[in-house]
Amino acid sequence: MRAAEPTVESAPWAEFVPSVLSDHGTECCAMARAWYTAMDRSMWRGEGGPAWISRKFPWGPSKWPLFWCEAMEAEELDCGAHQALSMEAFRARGIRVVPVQLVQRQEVHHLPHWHGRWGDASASPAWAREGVAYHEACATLQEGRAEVWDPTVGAWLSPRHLEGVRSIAAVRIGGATASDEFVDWRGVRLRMGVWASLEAGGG
Amino acid sequence: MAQRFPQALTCYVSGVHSGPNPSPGLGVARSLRQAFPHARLVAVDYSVESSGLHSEVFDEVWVQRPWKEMRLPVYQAAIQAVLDGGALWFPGQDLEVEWMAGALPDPARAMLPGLAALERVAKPAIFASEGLPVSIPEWIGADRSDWDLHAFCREHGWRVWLKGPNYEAMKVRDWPSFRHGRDFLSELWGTEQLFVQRHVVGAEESVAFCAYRGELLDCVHMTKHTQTAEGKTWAGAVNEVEPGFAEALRARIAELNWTGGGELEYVRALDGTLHLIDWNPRFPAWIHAASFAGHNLPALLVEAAGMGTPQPVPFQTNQFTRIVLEVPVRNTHPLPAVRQANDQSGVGSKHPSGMTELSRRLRENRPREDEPVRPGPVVVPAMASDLEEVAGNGAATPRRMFLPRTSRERFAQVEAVLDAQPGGTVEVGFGYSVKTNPHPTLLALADQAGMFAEVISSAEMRRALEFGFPPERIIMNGPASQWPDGPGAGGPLMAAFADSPQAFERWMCHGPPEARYLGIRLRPVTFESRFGSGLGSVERFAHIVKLLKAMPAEQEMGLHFHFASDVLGPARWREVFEGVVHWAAAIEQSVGRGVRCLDMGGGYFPDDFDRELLPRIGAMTASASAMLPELERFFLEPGKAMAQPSMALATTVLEVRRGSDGAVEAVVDAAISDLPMAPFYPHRVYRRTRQGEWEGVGGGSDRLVGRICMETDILASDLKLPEELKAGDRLVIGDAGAYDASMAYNFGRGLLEDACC
Ligand SMILES: [Zn+2]
Repeated sequence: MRAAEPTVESAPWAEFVPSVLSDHGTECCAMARAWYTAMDRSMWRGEGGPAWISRKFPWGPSKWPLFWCEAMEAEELDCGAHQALSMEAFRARGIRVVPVQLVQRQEVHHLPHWHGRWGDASASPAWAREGVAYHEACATLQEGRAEVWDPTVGAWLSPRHLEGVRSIAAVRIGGATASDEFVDWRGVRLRMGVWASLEAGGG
Repeated sequence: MAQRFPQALTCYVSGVHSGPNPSPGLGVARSLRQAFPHARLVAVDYSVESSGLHSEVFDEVWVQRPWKEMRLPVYQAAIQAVLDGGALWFPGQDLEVEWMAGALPDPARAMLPGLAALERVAKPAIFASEGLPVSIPEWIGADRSDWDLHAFCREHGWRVWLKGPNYEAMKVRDWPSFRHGRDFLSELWGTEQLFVQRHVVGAEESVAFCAYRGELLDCVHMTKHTQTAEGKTWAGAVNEVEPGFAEALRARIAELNWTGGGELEYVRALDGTLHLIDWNPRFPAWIHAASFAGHNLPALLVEAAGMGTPQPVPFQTNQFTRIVLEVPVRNTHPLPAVRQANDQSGVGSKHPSGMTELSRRLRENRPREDEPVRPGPVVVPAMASDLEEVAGNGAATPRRMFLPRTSRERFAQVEAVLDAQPGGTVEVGFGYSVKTNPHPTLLALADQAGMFAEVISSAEMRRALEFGFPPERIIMNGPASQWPDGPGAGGPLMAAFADSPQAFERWMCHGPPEARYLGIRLRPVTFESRFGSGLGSVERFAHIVKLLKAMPAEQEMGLHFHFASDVLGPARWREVFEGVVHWAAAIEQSVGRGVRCLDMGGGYFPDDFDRELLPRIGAMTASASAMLPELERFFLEPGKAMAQPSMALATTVLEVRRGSDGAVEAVVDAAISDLPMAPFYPHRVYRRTRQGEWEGVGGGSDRLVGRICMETDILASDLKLPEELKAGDRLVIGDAGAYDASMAYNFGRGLLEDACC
């Protein structure tokens, strides 16, 4: 059975803003940030992407708002937290980086597993619908070109992945505020801050 | 059925084994079958255990005698007859290609390149890659001296491969694994053909191509997605070759006048650069996956050879994976009987291609020289005069000798850096690691050079005090720094570092050692170590911060980090150093107190200390003080870099055993108990020639074995002992002044440990 083709409009994701970690403004979060920065400097030499993050904190439910001190003590983190941490790692090396939001096709029958797992953790399962899911990543920008880093998988994504499981139905680069700036993601021209559907042969 | 082609197409496809490390034949045949459904396909291999022989894609099989026992001229004539009969030949084994290229006078229908082209694509240099957007990872011939080979491995952080000329690569992690690999592979290929190449971290990709008489017909790019434990492709994606790459390849193929299939294997490093590992003179085993993606390369060769027009290939998909299938065995070629297992070897573990045997046969045909001698160490002037002074006399052996000039030169280098003080406002100091060698002369040299004494126990501290180091020139660390009980230092030490949070907690409860700088040893986060305080979680980090916060306000804070540089290589050690500086900054920020002192060790190989560390101290101090504004002292602990070259072991040959096969073994009066580090790094060996000059002993496969009854008592297994060596001759083993001295033990002398009663 196949679900209807997902669109941004068919789910509440158009309104989603990229995840940001919160800070208590006290020693707990300051210490967590200091630890993260030093750890990142030891684990990642600055080439490729910070693949260590999802190895250290495998993908799983997070409760939001998520504070730095909670995130650094978590056993698992969701893609929003992975995104926020990866952004921090790129930024620390002086690389311009923006959040990326994606709508990806998924297996229909995976939904109850996700809802169950997120529900057990008292985390919101709103990111998952039948056959489709909301996902966060980040993009490094250089001279108008974007490369999208999926921090959960630890891989660079391709806009040509348009069919099958995990294929990209829609993407928004640069967060929730529409901008006049355009970026080129491997041949696909996208306006920053605006959702776009990816179609075979399109772009 | 209508005959589609003017003449029947017959293709001989060799190398058809299909397993975790498959040969390309099966994939080539499947592509040929797809393009030419009525072709007669004949499988060729050199073992009945080649599994692809049983694939239904083949109309016939032609199993040869194994390479080891085959009469090569007979086989050569048989192949020539097949080709003369109008068949095409698709070779599937590198060495088969090499042999055929040399053996066949007119290989027109054999899809293989000529000998000249093969020479241009031979590893490690792969001259033909010039002009392609790839570089060859750094390599060094294994015929170089052990000293150079060890240096190469350190330079590349012990992330290196030992490789044979055609295939077979072994990952090397340390000197013992290098030596093991060299013994194993040189048996196969001969040492003169081996080389060591740096490992490149990145994604494995390749470009497969086909060409006919210098014309590139097509090429495809493949990215490995998953691979087997051996590193062989299991799943991947086939795409177009980047245009720049394809054009450069077209030009190279024309120059090489290439015919046949081929594959370039390379690594795409994280920075995007391409590093060529191999240029194979045959199709890769995944070649049929290219046909799914609309590129049937074997079929294009048939067409180019004028043997027919292939059926068009529809594009199916560009991704592929392998699966495991059971197929019925051909009645004509039943499996060999089940061999009885014995305890010497496993059954069925050998690859059926028989390439090692063919390699030996091809080498038999080449002029065989005597075993090549790898160069011995150069006798530098200080060493020459040291040897003359201390080893020239007839004193009893085995005897460890202090080398005065060599040692003084080492300590003078440290003194020069201390005089220059390259750290600017940060005072640079050096700690002499007492455990490395607590010999009075070395302690005195360290003292005179202005070094600090780095101690790991109270016993060592008291020895340092006894030899004139004042408390303020002593740095204490280690898991049992206050063992055993006894008199204290009598004044504040320069620094003391707790090895664990528990030790530091005890210090805070019961009083720490009196020291100007007090702190903790940090444990590395990127590799295993039993020492120091772990930082792997915020909880552990917070615990360390809490403890350091508890220090009295007036106590100055320091941090210590130690990991042997020669284990990681100096470049990776510097990366770790940068990480440590960031940890120190995180601690400083969280504790709310400046890091005033940083103490970094250690375990430098002497050459690395001289060439890699000393010239960089200024830059290291600068980057540390940029992160740590209150830093005032930066200590480096050279470890064995000071002591290792300072002593040598003189030994006398007791017996020389020359085997009829040329193997030479000399029994000497020294033993592994006198040189416990013998297996772990190269030791330079010297001897005096008949003319009275000192020379270094070269490398080969002769052994130097010790006097004691232990299987492990082998002092060297990679020397070329001189022809004239005889009982009574003297050899001097250098580089024996560090742990070889301090960890030497009594064995086979009729002595017991003093403390035993
Ligand atoms: Zn907090």
